Amino acid sequence: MLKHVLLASAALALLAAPSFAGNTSTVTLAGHVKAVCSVVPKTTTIKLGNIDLTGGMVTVAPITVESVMGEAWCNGAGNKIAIVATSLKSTTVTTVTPGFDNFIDYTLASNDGLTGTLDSSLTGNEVDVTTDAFDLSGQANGTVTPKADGTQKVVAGDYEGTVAITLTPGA
Amino acid sequence: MNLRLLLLAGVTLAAIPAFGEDSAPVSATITVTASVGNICHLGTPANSTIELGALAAESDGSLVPISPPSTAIQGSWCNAGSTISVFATPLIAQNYGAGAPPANFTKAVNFKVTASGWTSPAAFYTTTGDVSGSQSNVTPGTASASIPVAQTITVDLSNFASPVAGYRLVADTNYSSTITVTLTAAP
Repeated sequence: MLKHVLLASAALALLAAPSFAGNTSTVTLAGHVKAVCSVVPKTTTIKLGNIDLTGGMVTVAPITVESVMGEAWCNGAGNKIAIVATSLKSTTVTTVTPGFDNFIDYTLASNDGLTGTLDSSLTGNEVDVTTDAFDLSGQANGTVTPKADGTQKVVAGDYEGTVAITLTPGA
Repeated sequence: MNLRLLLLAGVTLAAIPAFGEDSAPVSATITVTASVGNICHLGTPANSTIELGALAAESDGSLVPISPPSTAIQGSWCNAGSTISVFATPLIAQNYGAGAPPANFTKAVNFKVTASGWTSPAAFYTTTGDVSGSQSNVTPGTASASIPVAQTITVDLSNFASPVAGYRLVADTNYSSTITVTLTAAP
């Protein structure tokens, strides 16, 4: 009985012996980077200040806005940039008299080379851009240009609107 | 399955990414603020001079009825609440001199000026000159609008009267008054 046990041990030892004669094993390391985007405004409020009037109507003069985006990037391909702007609306006047508006439309033009110009007066005024990886962090300078109605004057007071930016990662 | 295969399988499993996580959209909203100042603009009167003609009757020298046409001030607007004020000096004989007129005569004629179309009721002012033209009330007539207005202002003159009923007007080739209409935006 002891002999059989010794033989079996010897056989196992042969099987487990390493082979030093030209055998190669290849291990493939596979990784993955998830497609993500990040958008963090440098400031949550853009203050345009006082809007000049001509004859009671908005003066069409670009107002420069600098470095809106603190962080804005996507690392994938086929990312979507969606920007929606709402008109500047009076924060106090809800009912206007004939001849006056209580809102100011504007065009938003970015120099980022991606998103172009946005017109807050258009229905569904949304810019949709599909683009590969980009990084606009610290950039997104541009201009806000109030639009004159042509006939309507604007009521006095404070105005407020929003620009919503949504970045959707691609593949 | 031997140990090597088990080890390789273990390496491969460890590298599989977590595909179950969504690559969710991210968004940010920026508030854009601006302001528009309180501004008023008063248009130019259609007539800068209102010619009244002869003021006194040749028969007795007393004041005749006077009904001048209205004067429009177009293109006026305020983009906020506003106050319209109106003021006038009496019609005063310009060449008569500084002295008081003789007894039973006047060198001044009072009247009422009404600026309508801006507020309801309209702003008005009535001159209060004595026979020499000195006014006892120099506070303009005012009326306020609580909302923006863009309207034509119509200036009407009425109620022409001698400071003392029945007094005759001294002769003068130039009786003159100045009417002032002012728009002031609410602060």
